[in-house]
Amino acid sequence: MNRRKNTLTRWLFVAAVMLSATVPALADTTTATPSAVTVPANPTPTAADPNSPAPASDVAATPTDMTATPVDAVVPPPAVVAPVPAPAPVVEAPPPPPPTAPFEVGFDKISSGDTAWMLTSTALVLLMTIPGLVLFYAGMVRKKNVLSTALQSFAICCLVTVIWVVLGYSLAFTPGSTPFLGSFDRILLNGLSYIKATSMLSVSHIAPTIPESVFVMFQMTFAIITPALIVGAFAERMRFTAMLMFMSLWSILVYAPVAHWVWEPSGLLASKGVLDFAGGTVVHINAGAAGLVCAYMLGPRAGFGKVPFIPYNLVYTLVGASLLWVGWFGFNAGSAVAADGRAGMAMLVTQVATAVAALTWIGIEYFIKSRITMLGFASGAVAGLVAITPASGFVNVNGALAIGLAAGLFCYWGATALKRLLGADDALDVFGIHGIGGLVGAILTGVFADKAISGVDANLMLQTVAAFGTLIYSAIMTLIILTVVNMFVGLRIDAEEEHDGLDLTQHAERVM
Amino acid sequence: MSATEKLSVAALIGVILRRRINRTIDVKWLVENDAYAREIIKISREQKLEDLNEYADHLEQLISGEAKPVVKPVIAPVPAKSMEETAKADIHDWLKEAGPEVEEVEDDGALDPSKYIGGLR
Repeated sequence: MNRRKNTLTRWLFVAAVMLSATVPALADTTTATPSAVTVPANPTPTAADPNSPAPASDVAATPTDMTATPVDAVVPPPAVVAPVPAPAPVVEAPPPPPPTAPFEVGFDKISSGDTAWMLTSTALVLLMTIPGLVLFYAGMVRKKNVLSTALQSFAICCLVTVIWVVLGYSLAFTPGSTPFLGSFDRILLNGLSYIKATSMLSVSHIAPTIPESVFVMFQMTFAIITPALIVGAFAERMRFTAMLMFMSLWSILVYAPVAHWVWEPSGLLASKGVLDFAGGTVVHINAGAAGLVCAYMLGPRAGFGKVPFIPYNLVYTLVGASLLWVGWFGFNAGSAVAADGRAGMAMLVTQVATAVAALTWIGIEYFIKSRITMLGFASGAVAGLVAITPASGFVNVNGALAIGLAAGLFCYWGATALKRLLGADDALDVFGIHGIGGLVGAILTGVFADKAISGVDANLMLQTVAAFGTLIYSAIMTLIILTVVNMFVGLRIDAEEEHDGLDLTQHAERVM
Repeated sequence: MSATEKLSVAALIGVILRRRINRTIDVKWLVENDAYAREIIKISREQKLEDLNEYADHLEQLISGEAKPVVKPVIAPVPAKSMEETAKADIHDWLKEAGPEVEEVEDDGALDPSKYIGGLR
């Protein structure tokens, strides 16, 4: 008996030594010194909730879980203890509830793979706005308004960056006292930490394998591009100061609440099971609805519907669309918040849907107008990118083919027949492409979501209600904000300034 | 006499001559050189086109200092300040800046006339 005990002790000792040598090596993802760190219990990521926009990494979970086990409590592998009689069953304590707010972890809980991909994705999404959207829009307006259109997106990038760190992030991505809005806990990013001395840093409960600083930046790029999309609707006629005021208020009163509803697990729509992987509702429906209201509120440009508005340079537009396409991989695959298989699926379906939508658009164009245009190709591609956005982490390739086809069809209708029907001078078809594409994608996510990928059953009715609910909220709030801004500074430039162009009258510059 | 008015009439004559008889003229030189302008007026009248005759008559009056109100509005009313500024620009920039009507005249020879009216796509 004693001999068996000695044998067991020896095996346990050998196994413990082997694992204590192996685990830190696997877990060494930062400069932390594991022995000096007090490692808290491994949080069960809220992101594991399939409704969350930040699905759990199917790769990163392994090293994270391994590092969560204290080194001195390592259990030997089964093969080693096989000869030993089974020990008495141990009653394990129930796992701690998943965190519902940002929290601090040790450096060793951070996945370097996820972090690297999210840093890359962040840069890609920022690339979509500057210079992607800048070029895309600047190429489509008249020569006298090129600089102002380009500058508006650039200015929004700066403006929203400040708003996001001061207030927006806190309102969008912290749990609040109601499901409608987050708290003020993270104002000025209060509580966001990175402390080298203790090897601790903060993470979001939505993305527990990457530093919170990276998550803040990634979400900031979404907060930037959404209002920048609206610029296309009121192009060539809005006063620059009015635009800055409108965008500031819109970011706080429209974007942040809607992001909270959809992406914060305790938010109004996320808690009901609404699926929006990368922002079909938050970004595209939201911006599309706001764009349409802006177009109505500002009125048509002088000569609209009577004379042609010759685009300045459609090569800019194609280059911009190409940058948008490439950047969209960060947008959609980055929304997995992990370098994993789901991100790979999101990237694949993004490419497929985009190509199908572009081909569908030009097919319709050829059928109706007997011409294939470059603007048609670029528009179709963007339509496909928009529509696959909410579905990208939920659908398979068949779903992507169907969504691409529907996007090309409906967005073409949105930018032509529906535009004429609505009668608004939505200058660059923000509602026709982003609004309609977002609706198509959000609703079809309810049809084509594949449980094998997402682990959830989608609800078509819920998706539809959420999509139209967001549309209505965004439209009403935009109307209120525009009315307020109009009272203070006036939304529209006067006729003389419009004739001379915004470049000269608003910025005293011009394209030669 | 307004230099800007002269330039606008000269630009429209240039567009019509190019489109109807495929003849290209130097609009800027036409504004600066009266002899060249008179020769262009003569060529314009030889075409026996109603609109071209009107513009030729108007240009002749502007050259001889007998300016009178434009018989037919050729472009939308443009604020004086803007026109003074744009008159300093070269003719190509002016054509782009002077307003959508001029752009239409300039470009619809190459484009479908209905293209880009009321929508890009």
